[in-house]
Amino acid sequence: MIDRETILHVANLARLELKDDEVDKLKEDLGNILNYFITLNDVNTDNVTPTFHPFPINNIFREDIVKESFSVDDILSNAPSSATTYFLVPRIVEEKNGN
Amino acid sequence: MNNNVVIGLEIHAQLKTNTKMFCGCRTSFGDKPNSNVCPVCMALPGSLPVANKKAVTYTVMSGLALNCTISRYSKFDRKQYFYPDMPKNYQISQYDLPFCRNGYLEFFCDDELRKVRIHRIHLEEDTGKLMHTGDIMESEQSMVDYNRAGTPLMEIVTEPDISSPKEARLFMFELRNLLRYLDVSDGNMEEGSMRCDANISLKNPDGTLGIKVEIKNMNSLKSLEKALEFEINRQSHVIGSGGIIIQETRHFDERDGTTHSLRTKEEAHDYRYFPEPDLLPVVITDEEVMSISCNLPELPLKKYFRFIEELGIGKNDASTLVSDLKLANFFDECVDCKCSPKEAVKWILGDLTYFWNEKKIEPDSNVFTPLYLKEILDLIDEKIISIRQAKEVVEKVFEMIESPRNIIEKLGIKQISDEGFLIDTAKRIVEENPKAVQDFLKGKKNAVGFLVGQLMRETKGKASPEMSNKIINEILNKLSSKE
Ligand SMILES: [Zn+2]
Repeated sequence: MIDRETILHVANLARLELKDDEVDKLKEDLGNILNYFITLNDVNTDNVTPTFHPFPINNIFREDIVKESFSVDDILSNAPSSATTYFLVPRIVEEKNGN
Repeated sequence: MNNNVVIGLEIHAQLKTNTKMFCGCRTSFGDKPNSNVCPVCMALPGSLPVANKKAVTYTVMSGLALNCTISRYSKFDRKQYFYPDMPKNYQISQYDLPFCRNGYLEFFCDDELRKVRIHRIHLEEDTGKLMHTGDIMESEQSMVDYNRAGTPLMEIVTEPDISSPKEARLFMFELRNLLRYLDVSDGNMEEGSMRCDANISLKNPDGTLGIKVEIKNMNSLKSLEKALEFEINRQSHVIGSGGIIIQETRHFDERDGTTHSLRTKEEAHDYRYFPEPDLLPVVITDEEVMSISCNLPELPLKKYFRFIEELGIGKNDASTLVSDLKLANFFDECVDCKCSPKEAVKWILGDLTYFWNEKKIEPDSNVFTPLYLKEILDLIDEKIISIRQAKEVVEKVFEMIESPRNIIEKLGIKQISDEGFLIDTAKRIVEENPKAVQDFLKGKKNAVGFLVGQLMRETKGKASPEMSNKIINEILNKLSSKE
């Protein structure tokens, strides 16, 4: 089960604005999904090493060799707003936390 | 030192790779905004990251140099947050399986060898840069440059083992020096290729840890020390006046040397890490660790002790040499050229450093080479030039970029060691100055100095003072024994 507070918290983290009836619907839907995953708790994993990736492959690297980047014009062509060669975004006043 | 202060540092160092962490874009500094970006670092749909091998190697090198345990199995994780400095809205980082753990760095603080433990080192990608035109409160929009987004960034986290602002500065100096020795990072705090955040708390009277405050935005070693000093005072005042410290992030203001609170929503800390599905785990074998370990260069502390113990250099000089790899290498090459270590140090830290600084060139620029220093020292040993003339020759080497022997040949800088010529000149001077001779015979010893001065003037300083003194004395002593 999942409570209303958690739904609102997760929505806020995802920058989603939810109406009251949407919260109720999501509470039910996410609750069902979580319940479904609880099935996994029944599996005995005592002697199983954690899997971090479904593919049994490791160490895929690239060499440190420069590849030509996109042209600035191409890159900016998707931008809703730009000035000289900068992307423009709504003014950010809040300082970033962490990192 | 206030032993109630507890400081831990979090250092971010950009790695000196040619390309970004997960794509082939250039990492160069100062290029036209958004000229080094591609679908991968712009997070266009369908693009996939591939890890830069060299960045992983550099991280393992740093871990080994910092005495860490290297994880044989690591992975990358996604750290989610909304901020326009990352086009993906997440940053690829490492959460629970970093490449390195449990190390330490040793360094000198007040003549005492200190040890600060390293909690972990992980690899992540740097973010883009946000800028504002004019006043931040008035401008409608922020400008974003993603050239830096995706640059390999190594995060080093210490244990809270540091107990003073000075110690924090010295630790950072030593760490930066170490990374420069490994040639894995520029370590330039002013340009932002190395950044440092600090956690600081004061212990409660009962010895328990107080509330921890994080300080950001210190752009030099000096700022780090100043910010911590300010923060100790601020926290002491708050506690002293019955207040309580709140857990928060504070920004250091370079202009007035104070810290101020960054009022951010604590919720932003909920990063919801999960294993990065677009990247595969990294397995490092014992052989690889061994091979990287064997190829590490001699590290600063080891060099320091070698200079002192094997080459007989004083502590202060050894520490100055070691603090700059190019200087230390120059010194080592001089010793390889058979320069006396003690003489070499005097010249390197004296006249050579003066001219390197004045001409704004590095010791490895080949303007003044270790072989030139060997020539200078030989010329002094052979009594061809005096110390004073040697200084002149050094200056000329920096101007003419020629070998010392060529320079003394071209400019006729030589000490006259032709004794016959000196004796003849001295005899003439004695004859021309009967009054000084009379004075000497009457017992006025300072008459000798006058005659020696005359001789050196006549020979334009090329006669060494010792030899001039010896010859004048011999002539005068002969005269007095005749009396
Ligand atoms: Zn790219």
